[in-house]
Amino acid sequence: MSLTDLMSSSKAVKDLKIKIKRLAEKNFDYCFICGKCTGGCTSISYFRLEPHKVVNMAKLGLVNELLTSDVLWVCTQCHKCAERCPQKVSPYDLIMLLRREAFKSGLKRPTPILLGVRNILKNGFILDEQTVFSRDLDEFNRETLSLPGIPKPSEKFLKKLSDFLGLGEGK
Amino acid sequence: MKSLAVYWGCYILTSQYQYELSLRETMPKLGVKLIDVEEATCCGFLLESIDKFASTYLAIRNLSLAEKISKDLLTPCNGCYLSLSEALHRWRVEESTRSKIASLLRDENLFFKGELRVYHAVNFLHDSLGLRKISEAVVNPLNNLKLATHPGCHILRPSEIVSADDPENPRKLDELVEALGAETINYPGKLDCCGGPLLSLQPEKSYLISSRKINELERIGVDGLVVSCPICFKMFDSQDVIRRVAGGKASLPVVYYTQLLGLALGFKPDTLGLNLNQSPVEKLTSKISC
Ligand code: SF4
Ligand code: SF4
Repeated sequence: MSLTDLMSSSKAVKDLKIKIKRLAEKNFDYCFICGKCTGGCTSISYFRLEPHKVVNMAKLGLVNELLTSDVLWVCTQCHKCAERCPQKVSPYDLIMLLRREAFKSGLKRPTPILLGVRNILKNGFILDEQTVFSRDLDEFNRETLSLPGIPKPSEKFLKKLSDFLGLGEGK
Repeated sequence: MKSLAVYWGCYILTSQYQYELSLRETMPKLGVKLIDVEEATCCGFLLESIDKFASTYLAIRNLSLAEKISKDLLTPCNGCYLSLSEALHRWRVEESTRSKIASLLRDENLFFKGELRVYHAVNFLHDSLGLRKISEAVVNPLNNLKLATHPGCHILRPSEIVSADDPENPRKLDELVEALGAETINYPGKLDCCGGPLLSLQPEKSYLISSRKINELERIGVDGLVVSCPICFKMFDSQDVIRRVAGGKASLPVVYYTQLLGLALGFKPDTLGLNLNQSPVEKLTSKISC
């Protein structure tokens, strides 16, 4: 027998739930829907993220809906839900786990994250060195501020990381 | 002189130069020598969302570079502090992670013992250096200032991994500010997140989150907000964006703790990069002699 969400007509996928549950470091079946996580969630008011719903959709096996959903990507990673959950469920850890599954399977690969990774593979950091402006609009950079240059990590290491992440050419 | 390795992370090295300047200027005055971790890379925070092992590997690699030069590591960034601390925790408890990473490190002739101690600027200054040493070095007490602090998330939570301060009632940054002669206030939104990790995914709307704290503090009436993380700083200091995205008249000085420390130690504002803050810091500096 499978479960159907009457609002969306989605079907639960038992295998996917089992897979996610195996990968999760904390057992989300312990959630008793107290709502503490959502009550204190940084992203509820502006982004409508409701961590207790993420947890309970996973519990019900509605994993596909989660993997394709944008809600995974509006979490500010503040860790409040994990800290305050009386059942030690950690909605945060579940959200990150689902992000990784969505990314790996190619269901969601947000461009800003891809750009950050590309940059790490280029010079070791998520950003390039920037020129900044004072309040009077004078330009400054590391050199004009007499800050030391940033040594680049070895090509060998960057190549290794790139192979490892499987994000080389074309991916 | 106490010496320790310093790991800056992406944000400070590529744009938050005033944090770097003010830490580099003030630490020697307090008898602390900073040694840069060379060939460091991103701490792995971003990779948490796409590959947990890769994120841990990047963090441990940075730690192994630091362990070559010191027993203690200081990082001024909250996000880096969590990434490095969590990776160290995993290294200590997860046998399989440890052996996989050790073999990757060997390819670069790196070796990690895992005995390094990781500090954030806040617990280093508060616990290791100590409030007394700081207040004794003050030549220009900041007596006229009433300030709010923003401890940020990742030096407090998850509290089983990071324990720089009490997760529900953090006071260390306040005590560090008070050691300089200024007054601090408690306020309802003190534990609220800056929204920073959403910045790249939501370049505009993420500022709605930081606007809440700025507008709250404007209502309460303080001379400024003191921050100790480059991402939090950017979220609160970019008040032109806050005004555009959230409305309101945000015009609150935002400073790094190390900039405030520098002023109390007698440094000139520009030496501490205060000219690079975008918020109206002259409203704060005009209340003290500097
Ligand atoms: S705080 Fe924990 S137990 Fe309560 S609803 Fe959230 S996940 Fe469930
Ligand atoms: S970590 Fe994410 S889901 Fe949890 S409270 Fe913070 S923003 Fe909400």
